[in-house]
Amino acid sequence: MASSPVLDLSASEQARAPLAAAVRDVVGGAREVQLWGTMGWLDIRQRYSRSVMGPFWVTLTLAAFVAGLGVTYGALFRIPLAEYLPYLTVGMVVWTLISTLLIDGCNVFIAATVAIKQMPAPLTVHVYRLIWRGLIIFGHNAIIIAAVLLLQPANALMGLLPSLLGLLVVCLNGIGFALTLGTLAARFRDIPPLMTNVVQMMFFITPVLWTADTLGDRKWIALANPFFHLIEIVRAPLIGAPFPALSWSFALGLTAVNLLVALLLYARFRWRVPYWL
Amino acid sequence: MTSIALEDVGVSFPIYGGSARSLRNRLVSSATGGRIGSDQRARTCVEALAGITLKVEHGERVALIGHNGAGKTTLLRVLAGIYPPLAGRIRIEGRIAPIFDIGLGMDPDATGYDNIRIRGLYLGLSRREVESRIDDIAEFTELGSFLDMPMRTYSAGMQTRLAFAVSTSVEPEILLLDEGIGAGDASFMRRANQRLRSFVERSGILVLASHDDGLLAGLCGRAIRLEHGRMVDDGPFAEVMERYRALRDAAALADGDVGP
Repeated sequence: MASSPVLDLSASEQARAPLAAAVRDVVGGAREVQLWGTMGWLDIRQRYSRSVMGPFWVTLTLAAFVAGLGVTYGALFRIPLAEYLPYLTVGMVVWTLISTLLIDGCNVFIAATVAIKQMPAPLTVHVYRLIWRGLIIFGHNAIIIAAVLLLQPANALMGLLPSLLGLLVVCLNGIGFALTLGTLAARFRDIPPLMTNVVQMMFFITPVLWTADTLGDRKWIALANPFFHLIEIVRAPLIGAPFPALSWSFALGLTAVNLLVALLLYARFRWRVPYWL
Repeated sequence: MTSIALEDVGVSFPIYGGSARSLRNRLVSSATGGRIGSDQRARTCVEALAGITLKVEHGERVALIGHNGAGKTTLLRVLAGIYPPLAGRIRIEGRIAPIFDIGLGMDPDATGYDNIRIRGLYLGLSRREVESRIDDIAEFTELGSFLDMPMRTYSAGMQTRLAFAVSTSVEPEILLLDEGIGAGDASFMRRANQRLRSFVERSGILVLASHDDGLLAGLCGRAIRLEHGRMVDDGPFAEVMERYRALRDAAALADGDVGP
């Protein structure tokens, strides 16, 4: 018989070495691939149960949005459609992912209250489930990207790998955001509506519909915006723009700080989360 | 070797009313300085468990008794590792399967089948193991086509059937049961009892919280009585129950005196 698992929780040890316990939780949660994989998949299936189009509704909505805006704003900004459409499409799809990670990230523990109070598991399981869910939707939306990039397939193929690396960095930041916001929101229930507002506002000040260069001498607005850089590292390679060295260094710095803050906060308050729910 | 050991475990819940829980109050209080802040420092806390020290060995079947709010459910959640202790230490060896009566399964909007899957994965089964057992589990629940419906449409008894079927199918070493098990109907309880008995024979650890003396008497050899989050009695089932009953009778008598 295999040796029995041991559950060992000590309040004094948590007080002494919270970081080690948090790391164990983060790693242990990641190991439960089948659990969060299944839960994320079920989340999607449920959300669109009894709908014929299913998650493709997001894709359709986004496609209509991109088509309408592409034609109109392309004319407004006087950018040729073959250039503007890929820029807008990739930007919108990545923004959709980031905004979902931020908004759902606030509710990551609150929404899982029932499960958390019934069964023991590392809490981070719900964080990975959230990222996975976001990636599944992203996969559906990637169809629009593929369709639009047929306009310039050579660029897209060359840029696929660096772009996927960019996506990985976005997901890592998603983990950081969800841990930080989810933990804070479990305690302070004003965070979710607050973040919804912030995300809405960010959409208008982040270069998704328009390009950073059109800001002229106020370009710093874009350059100081972390979300711009996160979008840029995925977008630039796909649309054949030059390698975004600045955005990459900003994004990597952001990832380091983000994950560090998240881990420290989570280490400090992880034991409290089930009590707050 | 399965075992449960608790050392001086304490658990308390902060109670946030409308006031302390919002960020605004935090910001306002820090902006206006000490007074309100110092009020909020003295948060209300409900001490759900305090100074719980106990050992449960291989093969013991423990009944948790006490009136509502005595801390039975909280203690079970601590044993399951859901509430990490805020004081003291717990050490539990063995595969734990909890069945709590929070209701509505793991995911109220998911179907019965999906809830079986999620619960199975939580209990440490792989996806393949879950799929290979799902027919047996479905059969034991006797829920038939209800398993294709969202769990929120289930009655309490039906939820109990599902949770019980899954949790006992993983051959756990430690079974934690909350009183909701009593929600099952007679035919289910008969089969549930059978399963519990065969589990008990394999000498795992069973911890069962209930108000149903008959159910407890058939399964448990030891009883622990909780009162206001503290252990007030612990020993062989019959003795503890006798003392508890005497106490209840005395209370009833006192009530009777006051009455007409």
